Amino acid sequence: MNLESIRWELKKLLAFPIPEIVIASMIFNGTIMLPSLMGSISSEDIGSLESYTIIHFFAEQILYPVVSFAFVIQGILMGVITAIILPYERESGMLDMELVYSRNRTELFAAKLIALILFGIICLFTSTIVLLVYNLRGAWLVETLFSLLIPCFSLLIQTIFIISLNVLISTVSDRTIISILSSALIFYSLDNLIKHSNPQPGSFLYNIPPISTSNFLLVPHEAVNNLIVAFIISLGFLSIAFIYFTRFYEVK
Amino acid sequence: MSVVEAFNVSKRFGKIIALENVNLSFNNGVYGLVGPNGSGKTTFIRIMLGLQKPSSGRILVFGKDPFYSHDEVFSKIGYLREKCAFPKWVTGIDYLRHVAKLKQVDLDQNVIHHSVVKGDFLERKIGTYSAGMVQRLGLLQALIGDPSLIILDEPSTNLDPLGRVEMVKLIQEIKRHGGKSIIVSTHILEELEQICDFIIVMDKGKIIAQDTLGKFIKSFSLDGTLVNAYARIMGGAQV
Repeated sequence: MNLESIRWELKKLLAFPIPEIVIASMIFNGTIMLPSLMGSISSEDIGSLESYTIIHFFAEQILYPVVSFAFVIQGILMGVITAIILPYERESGMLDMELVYSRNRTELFAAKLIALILFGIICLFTSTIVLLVYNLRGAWLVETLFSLLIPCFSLLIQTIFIISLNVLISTVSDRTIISILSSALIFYSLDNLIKHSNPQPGSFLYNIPPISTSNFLLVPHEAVNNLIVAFIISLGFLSIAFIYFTRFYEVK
Repeated sequence: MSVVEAFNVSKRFGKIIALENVNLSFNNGVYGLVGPNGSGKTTFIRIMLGLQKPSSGRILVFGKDPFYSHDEVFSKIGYLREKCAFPKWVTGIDYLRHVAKLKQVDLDQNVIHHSVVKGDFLERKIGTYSAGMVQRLGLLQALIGDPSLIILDEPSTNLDPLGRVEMVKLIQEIKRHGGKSIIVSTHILEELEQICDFIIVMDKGKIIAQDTLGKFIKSFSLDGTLVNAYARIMGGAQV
């Protein structure tokens, strides 16, 4: 495996115009979290009128919705980038050069995938840590640092799921716009389908933390099962994308 | 063994036949690939590079299938794409280093300081380049690793008159050193006449003529020029 391929792919992703927005969003998240982190926010404090300062009000009424919204935006942006990565490069002509100068397609596919996963982790993980810390200091159920590992792991699976499905869409799509629309349509349908077919806590994707961390903690067994299912499905998506890319994919 | 051998290569895109039973072989020397737009030149080049698979027939590059055995041929190929596309956010020199690392070779300083490089544009981000600079960068990256097979698809596109002269000199210089197979696809026949040893004319996905440059001109031209020979063979007006 040529590490240069991975380095280059990651460099490309981080230089993409959209990640700049993501990074700005991360900084924004971190910055707006500072006042609440500096202040003493706990369940008891919030209930106490004396200690419920303007900082707490700001954190409760403004920061949390903004942070949550920013988090969702980051997720969407990551989804968009992973969905368009191949059609965009194919349309611009960059993929031609990559295919010609790569040792083989397996290496190029692996490099792109590893870079996307690293990028996805950077995008979501930073934001999640901010959210977790915020929740930890607020009214969330997590009490020890160790208990953060499970939601973080589930976040990783969630990221892999989104990336895998988008890589598959990206591989079979001819054009960038088709890839974006397909990705949006599939995720919207999937999300709604899951919500309607299984509204109980623990249904995968919608209820995988950190989107719904409390559900994960309330029904961990169900959530773990869903994570395993999500991971297996992800591997299926990646296998199809890999076979298609290495055996059939053509630059037109 | 020829550098490239094509046996009855055909390529279809739905109902469109891009290539039909193309038989060709390339050895050392400069080959000019000419033909009108849509004649199948770029499709043939893409199949040679392993970017597309033939619908039928077989193509071998250095004796290997370029699509499935790319790892055995990639380091021996230099490619300049028609309408070069490079990431805009890196500098030219960074891109050249990247290609050298992929090919697992040292970046030859002779390549960087070649005559096609004017000024210090390699230190600038590619996004700031003019079309001509992008083309020059494309030429340079195609030479990295001293490849045995160099494929140039419209190499003088976007180059100014001086740049075209330099490009012709560059190819002549590579040719003088010998031991390489250079395939140049272009519409600019005057340039081709100065550099190529062989001419291959394609039309509607087929090879309609192929010969050494001298024999081709002698057979078809009334005034001893490639342009006239090409116009006559394509059934165009006398040039």
